[in-house]
Amino acid sequence: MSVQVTILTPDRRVLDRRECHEVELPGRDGTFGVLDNHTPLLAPLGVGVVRLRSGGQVTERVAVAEGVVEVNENQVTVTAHAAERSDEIDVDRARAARKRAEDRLHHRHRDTDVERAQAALARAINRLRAAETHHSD
Amino acid sequence: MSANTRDIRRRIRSVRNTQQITKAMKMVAAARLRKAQTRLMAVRPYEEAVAATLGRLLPRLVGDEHPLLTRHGDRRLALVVITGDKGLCGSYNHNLIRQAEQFLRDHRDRDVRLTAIGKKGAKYFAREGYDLAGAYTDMAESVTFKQAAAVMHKLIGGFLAGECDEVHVLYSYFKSTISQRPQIDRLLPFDLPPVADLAAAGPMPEIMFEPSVEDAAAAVLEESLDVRLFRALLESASSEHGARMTSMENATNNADDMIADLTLQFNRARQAVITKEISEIVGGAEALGK
Repeated sequence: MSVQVTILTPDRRVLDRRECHEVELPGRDGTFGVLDNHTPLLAPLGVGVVRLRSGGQVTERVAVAEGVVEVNENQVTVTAHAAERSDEIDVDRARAARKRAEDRLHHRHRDTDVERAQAALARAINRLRAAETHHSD
Repeated sequence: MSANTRDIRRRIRSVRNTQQITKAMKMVAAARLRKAQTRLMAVRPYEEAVAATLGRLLPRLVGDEHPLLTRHGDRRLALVVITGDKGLCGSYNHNLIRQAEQFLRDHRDRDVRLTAIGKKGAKYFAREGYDLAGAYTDMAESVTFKQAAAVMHKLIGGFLAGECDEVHVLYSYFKSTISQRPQIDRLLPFDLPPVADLAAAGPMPEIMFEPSVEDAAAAVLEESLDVRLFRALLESASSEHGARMTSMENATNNADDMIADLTLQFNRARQAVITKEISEIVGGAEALGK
């Protein structure tokens, strides 16, 4: 009665076949959950938090950015450009990154890459959300 | 001490100094090579996961007119040339540039636009008057996946907008520390693995795609293109460090040979001086004795 979650990035394995009852994934059009015996699924992921739940408790939170999830025979495999477990996230660094991105957006120059700054801001906020225990947990 | 022996001594010292530098560079290259190889190994599980996903997606793509799979012409080609940012690595950069020029000669009847990754290639092509579609530097040393994905994103954009019909990448395949060879891969239009592999995999389960087949397929295809470019960059980085290590090792050995030669010359010259002095003394004594 469980699924196994593997999260890979180009430089490491963030989670390797971690067991849980339910996994919540940040799809591009909103969050969705996967339980065991889920039909094979393929979906791109946006910037968000992957939450693993067992017995009603969140057992792991992982901030991911840009990726693809594949569900096949109770194996949930996420390949993401970047992924960090909540216990690995440096909150001070994430805060600093958020501040930098906000400053860039507030004091725009002609050569400010707005799209990039917004993406950086979204990632920083996402990391903070994953690091801090959130009301949605 | 004659002027001759002093000169030789000075040369020995100078060669020894250079040797210290080449030895240090060899050590640095060896350390960087180890790091680059670790990264090359680390990308493999990711690569395999993406390939597996692509494999399961395949039956849905065959016969499909996905824009990334579709050829719309063959006149305009894009070639991404990956070279190093630095020299002192033997013929590493030269080989890649030569290969790029060979590609240009082979496709003389087409319109080839170059994108250079790496200072050496960018500088060379700019000097030779090529019109570069893009030039990226400072990516050889510690390229991130994000950087690779950004370059790939631009290439995919150009391809989808119909600005180019094919995208090729020229990089250095890392065979071993002493052997690297230039390699050209076509990235776009995307080549699907042979369908023959499909039958072996057995019947395919019905897959659900979110939000649509097109979007999911585009995400997986782009992902595997990103991985391919990233891998090419990592292969090149390993190759460059390997080439530098080998050439610095050779330089260090050559310096040893030179020092041995010069030391021999020095001893001979010193011997000659002593012999000359002795014979002068003996000659003088004999003259006095007469």
